[in-house]
Amino acid sequence: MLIFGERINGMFTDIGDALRNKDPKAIQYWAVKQQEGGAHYLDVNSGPAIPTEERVAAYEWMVNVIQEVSELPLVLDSTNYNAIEAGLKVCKRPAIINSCPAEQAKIERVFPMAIQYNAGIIGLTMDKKGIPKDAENRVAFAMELVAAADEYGLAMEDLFIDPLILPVNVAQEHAPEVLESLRQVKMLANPAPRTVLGLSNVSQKSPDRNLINRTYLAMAIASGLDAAIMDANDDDLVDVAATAQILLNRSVYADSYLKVFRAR
Amino acid sequence: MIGIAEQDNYKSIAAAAMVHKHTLIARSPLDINICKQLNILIHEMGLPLNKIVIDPTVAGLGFGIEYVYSIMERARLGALANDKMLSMPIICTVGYEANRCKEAYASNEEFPGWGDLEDRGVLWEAVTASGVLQVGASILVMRNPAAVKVVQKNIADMFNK
Repeated sequence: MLIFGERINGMFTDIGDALRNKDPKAIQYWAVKQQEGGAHYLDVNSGPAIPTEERVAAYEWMVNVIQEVSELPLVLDSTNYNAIEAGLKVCKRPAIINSCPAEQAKIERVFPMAIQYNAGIIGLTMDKKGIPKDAENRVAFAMELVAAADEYGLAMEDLFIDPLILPVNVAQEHAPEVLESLRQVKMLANPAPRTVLGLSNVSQKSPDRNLINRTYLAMAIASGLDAAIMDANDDDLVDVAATAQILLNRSVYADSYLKVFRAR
Repeated sequence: MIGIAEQDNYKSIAAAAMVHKHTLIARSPLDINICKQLNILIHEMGLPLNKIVIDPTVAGLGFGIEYVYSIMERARLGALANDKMLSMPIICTVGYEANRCKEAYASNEEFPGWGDLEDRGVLWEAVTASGVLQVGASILVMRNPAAVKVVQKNIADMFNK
């Protein structure tokens, strides 16, 4: 189970301010803090903080300042593929591109770029028309992404299918469909692609966010989830991920298993 | 290599190994949880992982070697799945265990049907050793030089195939 730390995102005020003021402190603080919490990768999203024309340069700067303080590999999270490419050029370790929907034009832009920079891809089970309601159509999009990986020569383990979870307070019917999608995506190829979720989305604007995140994470891992973009500093949530590894017999039990899960 | 470090005495022995740069033998009583936990505890004291050797406690042929095999298999599969706390070499006290089995020392007069004691003792130790070798033993502590020869041949045969 891989944890992608979600906190370096321009949507958060401190990160947005850091970007506007070109002050790396907050970004570097969260890089280190998320690593300590148990993150295996750091998601990097510049968000809407800076004008479009400055985003490529700002993104490259973010990647550089993070790498000054952390050895963790990065998940380059942007809708601007030029910004991602600028980030890939300076990444010291193989990164993951976040993300590519099941749209031909974007596949043609992203997959060759992943191959060129030895990066992974998070593939979204959606197209221009949006996110499907049911598992069946999510899996159909996943199949298109699997086929693209095959065509471009991307290793299946470098493709992370994201079946896209929506907030449970407004789109409750999606939660079980996403779990079913996770199960089916694992059967699309052998070896299977990996799976990922933007976990915190499930609890958007709900009062019991942490509880919802934890419960859904356990359910999703049991359904085939390999990675989550999530709060790496919610200790109870990281504990759930660690305990699920044990209960699925993926790692050998020892009394200190929680500590071992966080050890590098 | 120094030892034996066990759950209730590991601190002083691990400290000695650390100060004098020895490798430590960490023994657990045929229990994968304690095996891994002991490695974690010793490592937390500051001994590097490559200075620890696992002694899972073995048994002689006929006295629970199947269980030994399953515990060692679990440790090796864990190591192959990148579990750093189970990736150490495994040491097996084969000579001691095999030779305390009745089959390895009972006289010809007592059990005429069991065959000649000299051959029997050698074979008992050698077969015990070969069993643990199959499941990933790295170091064998043996007693009978004739059994050592048989096992060496067995190892050579494994590598030549």
